[in-house]
Amino acid sequence: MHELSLAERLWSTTKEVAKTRNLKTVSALKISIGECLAVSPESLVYCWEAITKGTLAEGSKLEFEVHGPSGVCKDCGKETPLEKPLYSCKACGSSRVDFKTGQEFFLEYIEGE
Amino acid sequence: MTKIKVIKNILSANKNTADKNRRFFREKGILAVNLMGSPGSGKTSLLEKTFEAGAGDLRFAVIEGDLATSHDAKRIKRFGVPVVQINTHGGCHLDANMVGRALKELPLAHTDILVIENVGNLVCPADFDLGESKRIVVLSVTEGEDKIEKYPFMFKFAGCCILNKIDLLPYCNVSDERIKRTALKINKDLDFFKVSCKTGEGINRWLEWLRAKL
Ligand SMILES: Nc1nc2c(ncn2[C@@H]2O[C@H](COP(=O)(O)OP(=O)(O)OP(=O)(O)O)[C@@H](O)[C@H]2O)c(=O)[nH]1
Ligand SMILES: [Mg+2]
Ligand SMILES: [Zn+2]
Repeated sequence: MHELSLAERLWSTTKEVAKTRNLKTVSALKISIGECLAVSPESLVYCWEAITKGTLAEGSKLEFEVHGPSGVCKDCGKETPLEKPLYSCKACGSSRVDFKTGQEFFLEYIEGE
Repeated sequence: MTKIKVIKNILSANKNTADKNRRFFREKGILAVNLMGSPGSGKTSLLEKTFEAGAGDLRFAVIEGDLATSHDAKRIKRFGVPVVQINTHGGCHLDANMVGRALKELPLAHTDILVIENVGNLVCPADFDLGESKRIVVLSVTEGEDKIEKYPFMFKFAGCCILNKIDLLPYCNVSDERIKRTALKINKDLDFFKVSCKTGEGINRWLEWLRAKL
């Protein structure tokens, strides 16, 4: 639901990178995103298109790599993918886990020239 | 065509500010709680009942987060509790920076418990660390039995769940015990309370819990 502010932050980073690396156009951004964030890629794309219209990144593509949830179990100590719907430890079934992946939002790289 | 490696954590700005808030709370010895839940679940009512229940020896301060209006801040002010209203103007959650700014307007040298009432929303606030030491979710019986499974992260990362409006149980066709079982299934460490902010039932047990966290 807060895709607009994320798109704005992506844009300010993109502008910085384009400036320091002398890019005339930006054609794609690769983003790795955790599946458990309340962020919809589809609406992020929509906000991105609106923000970058008429800029050097107009028409650029957002490419997503979605990461499923994994974590470290506080009961058995193992690091496992987390099982839905309760996001529990795959090894022992405990619901007491510290998330490792699934909540991240990284800009990995920018393509342009 | 060039590919430029960036690897930038877009969420780190909030996390860093949250950590700064957390250090501040620790230095001042303040228990900061992030009070979350659906619109109308009874977050402000819980605060009103808490102040009424004669928590006289506990010194509270409150940050109220809403899209618009200062209705909730006015309700808190009636109890003589220091309060700051944040309006997010469409924003679906509070972030650590908004909280950091609001802190400057509160008499925190004289505060034991800071309650941050988040924007009514079961989704987005779960993604934003404010620097709190406890997350509390208020869920009301009128919302139905399935909300925990539909919005798992709100409950997964909470320390305490308060099931409110139990005075309405006879009219709602839901089972408070089933809700409790689901909540504990998704988060075994959750402290679970049933209260009514209308009748006052259960409020004392919640107050005891709060005191024990100090
Ligand atoms: N019957 C009953 N009504 C309640 C109870 N608690 C709150 N209410 C009513 O529920 C409505 C919403 O309560 P609020 O305290 O404003 O809820 P809130 O979660 O702070 O709402 P927002 O800040 O707008 O998200 C009000 O009309 C309250 O009087 C309860 O235990 N029983
Ligand atoms: Mg309220
Ligand atoms: Zn385990």
